Amino acid sequence: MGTPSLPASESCWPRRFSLLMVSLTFPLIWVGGLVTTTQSGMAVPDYPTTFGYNMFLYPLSWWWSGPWDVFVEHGHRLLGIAVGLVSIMLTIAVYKSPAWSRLRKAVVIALVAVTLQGLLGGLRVELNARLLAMLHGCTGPAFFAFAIVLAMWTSERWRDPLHEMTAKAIRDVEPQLSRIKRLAILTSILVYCQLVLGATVRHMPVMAKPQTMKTFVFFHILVAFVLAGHIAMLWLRTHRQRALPMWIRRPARWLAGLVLLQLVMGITTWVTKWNWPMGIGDLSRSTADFTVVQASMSQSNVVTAHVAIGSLLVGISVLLSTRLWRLSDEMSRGSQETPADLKVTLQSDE
Amino acid sequence: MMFKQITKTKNNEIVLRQQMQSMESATRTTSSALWCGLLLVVLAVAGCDGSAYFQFNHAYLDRQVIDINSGRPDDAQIEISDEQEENVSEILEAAFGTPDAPKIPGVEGAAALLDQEFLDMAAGPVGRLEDGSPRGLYRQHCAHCHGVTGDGMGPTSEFLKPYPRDYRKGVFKFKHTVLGAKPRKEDLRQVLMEGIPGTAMPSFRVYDSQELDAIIDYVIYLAIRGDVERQLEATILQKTADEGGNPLLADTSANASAEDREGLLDAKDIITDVVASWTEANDSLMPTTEPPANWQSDENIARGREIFLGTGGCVACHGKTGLGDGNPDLFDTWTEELVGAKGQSTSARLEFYDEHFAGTGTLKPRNQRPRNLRLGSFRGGRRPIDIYSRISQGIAGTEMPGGKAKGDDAWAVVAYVLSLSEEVISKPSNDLDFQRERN
Repeated sequence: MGTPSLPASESCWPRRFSLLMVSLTFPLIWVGGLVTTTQSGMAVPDYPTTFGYNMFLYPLSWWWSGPWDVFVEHGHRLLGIAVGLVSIMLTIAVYKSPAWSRLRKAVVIALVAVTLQGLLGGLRVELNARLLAMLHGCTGPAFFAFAIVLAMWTSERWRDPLHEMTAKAIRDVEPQLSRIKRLAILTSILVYCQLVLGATVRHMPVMAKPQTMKTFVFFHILVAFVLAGHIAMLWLRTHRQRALPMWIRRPARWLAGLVLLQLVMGITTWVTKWNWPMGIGDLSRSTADFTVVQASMSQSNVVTAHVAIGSLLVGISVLLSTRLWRLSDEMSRGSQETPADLKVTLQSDE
Repeated sequence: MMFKQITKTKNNEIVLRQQMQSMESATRTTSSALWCGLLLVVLAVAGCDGSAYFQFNHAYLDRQVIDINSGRPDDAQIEISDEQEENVSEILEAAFGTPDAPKIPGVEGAAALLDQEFLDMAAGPVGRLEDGSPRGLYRQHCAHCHGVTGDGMGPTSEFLKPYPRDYRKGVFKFKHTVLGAKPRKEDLRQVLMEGIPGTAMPSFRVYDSQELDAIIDYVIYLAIRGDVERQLEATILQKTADEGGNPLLADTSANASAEDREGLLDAKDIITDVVASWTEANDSLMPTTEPPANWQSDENIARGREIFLGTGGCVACHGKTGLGDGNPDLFDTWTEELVGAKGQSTSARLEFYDEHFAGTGTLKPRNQRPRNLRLGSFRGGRRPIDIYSRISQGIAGTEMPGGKAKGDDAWAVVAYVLSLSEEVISKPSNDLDFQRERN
C-alpha cells in the first residue's frame, strides 16, 4: 500500500509554507546564537529602526561592509522578519483553504508567537536587558519546536500514522508504546530545561557571583550526562522495537547522534572559550601551549553550533514525542473501536 | 480500493480533529510547566541583573583588621563601620567615577597616562554609538573573568585555573620592566595580543588596535583605582587604630568646611603617587644585554644547567628535572592576603582562610604551581627575550625571584630552559644525577 495522497480539494501551500518556516527558523536561531556569542545584541542600539533607518532601507553596502557585530545583528533582524512574513503567508494559506480549517488556531498561535518573539528581541535592545536576551534565547527554540510540530500537522503521515504498519507490527508495538512515549516526553522536557540552563550560563549577568555561575555550570554538565543517558535509553527502546515505523525510529536515531555530537561540542566550547579545564592541558605538550583566541572563527562557530544543536535537540525530541503521541492515540482508538475501517486497512496490509 | 481510501480519510479527519484538541490541551499543560521552570530560572538570576557597580574590597580590609587586632588586647579591638566603608567609596567615586561613567582622577600625570575617550569606549554596557564606535569593551571581553571592579572575581572566575588576575594590587606578572615596577602599556598589549597559553586568558589579536588601547587604558584605570582603594582602607584603618572610634577620612558633602575636607588632600596624594608609579613604568625598562654569540651552543646550555642546579636556586621550585615538582607549598602574593602567615604548614595556612574568609565570596586559595619547563609552553611569552626577562627580573606577584642570574649567565639559563623542552618528558637528562644523589 502506498502513501495516501492529499485529497484534491486541499491546497498544498500550507504544507509548503510550514516547511519553509521550519527551514528559515533554524538559521534564524543559529544567527541568534551568533548574536550572543559575538555579543552583538546591542550593536544596533535602536529598534525597529537600524541606526535611524527603516530596517528594510538600511543601505545594503553599509550592512555588508560595516562592523561584524552590526552585520550579525541586522542580519538576525532581517531573518526574523522573513520568518514573520512566512508565518503571515502560512496563515493566509490556511484561512483560504477550508480543508485546512483544523489548523487555523495553530497558525494564528504561530503568528502571534513570532510577533511576540520579535517584540521581545526589540525590547531587549530598547531596555538593554540581558535577562530579556536570555528569555528571547529560550523562547526561540520553543517556537522552532512549535514550527516543526505545525509542519508535521500538515504532513500526510500525521493523517495516517499506521499506514506502514502491519497488524502484527501493531500488536508487537502496542504494549511498549506508552512507556516509550512517556520517555520521549520526559526527554523533551529535560532537553528544554537543559537549554534554559545553557542560556542562563551564556547570559549570566556580569555582576553575578562566581558561585552562582559555578552552580549553573555544574548543573548544565550534570543534566547533559543525565540527558545523554535518557536519549540513549530512548534510542535503545525504539531500536529494539523493530516493528516501529521508520518515522519514529529515525528521529530517535537522530537524537542519539546529535546528543553525542552535542557532548563533544560542549567540551569543545569549554576549551575554545576557557582553555582546558582544571589545568589538564598541562598533561601533554600538544595541549599545554594552546592559546584561546577571542572571537576567532573557530570559537564563534563552535559556541554557536553548540547552541544551535541544542535547539535542534529540542525540535527533534518534541517531534518524536508528538509522533509517538499520535501513533499511540491512533492505536488506542483502533483497539477500542475496532472499526470496520481499520479492519479493512489491516486486511489490505496483510 | 478507492472507496476504502476515501472512507478512511473521512474517518481520519474526525479522529484528527479530536486528536488536535487533545494535543492542544496537552501542549498547554506541558508549556505551562516549562514556563514555570523558565520563570524560576529567571527569578534565580534576576537578583544578579542590574546596573554594574564597583565592589568594596572587603577582603583586604578584613585581613588588615585581623592582623592589627591580633596584636591588641580584647578590649581594644578595632572595627571598621559601614559609614567608614561608605566614606572610602565616596572618595573613590568622586575621584574615579563609576563603571558606567569613569573619570580620570584630577591629579598630575593622570590625563597624560589615560585617555578619557578610551575609558568611555571600554566602560559601560556593551553596545555601539550611532557613529559606530564601540562601548562597553571591558564588560564585553574582560569583566566575566576579571570582574567589573577588576578584582579577578567575575562570574566565570571560580572554575578557571589559574584564577583570573586581580588588578587591584597593581601587580602584573608578565612585563619587561624591572621587578617592582609597573608594566608599560606595551607589556599589557603583548599579553592582549598573544594571550597566555595554557590559561583562559585569550589572545585579542583579531581586534582593532584602538579597541585594545581602550582596554589597556581601562585596565590601568582599574588597577590605579584598586590600588588607591587599598591605600585608603589602610589609611582609615590606621586612623581608627590611632584615634579610636570610627573616624572618617574626609567629609565628602558639598557643604563641608575646608577643614572637614582636608582628608581629600591625603587621598589626592595617594592617587598622585599611584599614578606616578604608572607613568614611571616607561623609564623602568629592565636592563638587557645582547645574547652572546652561540648562546644556544652545547657549552652554554651546560653552563646554564650548572646555574639552574646550583647558584640560580631554580631547583627549589622547578625541581631537578625541571618538571615543576619542587616546592608545592607556594602561594602567590594575591593569595597570601587570604591565608595564614608564612612559615606555617600549608594546611594551617588554609585553615586560616577557612576560619576568616570562607563563605565571604573570595575564591578558595590554590597553591601556586612552579612551571613545568619541559612542556615548552611559557606563559609570559616564548621569545628568548621574554624568558630572559623572567630569569633576570623574576615574575611579579610570585615566588619566582629576579636577579639570581644576570647578563650572559641569564642567557645561559635561557638556553638551558629552552633546551629542556626538546628532551623527552619521561626521560629527563637530570634524572640520572637525581638518582645518583638519592643512592
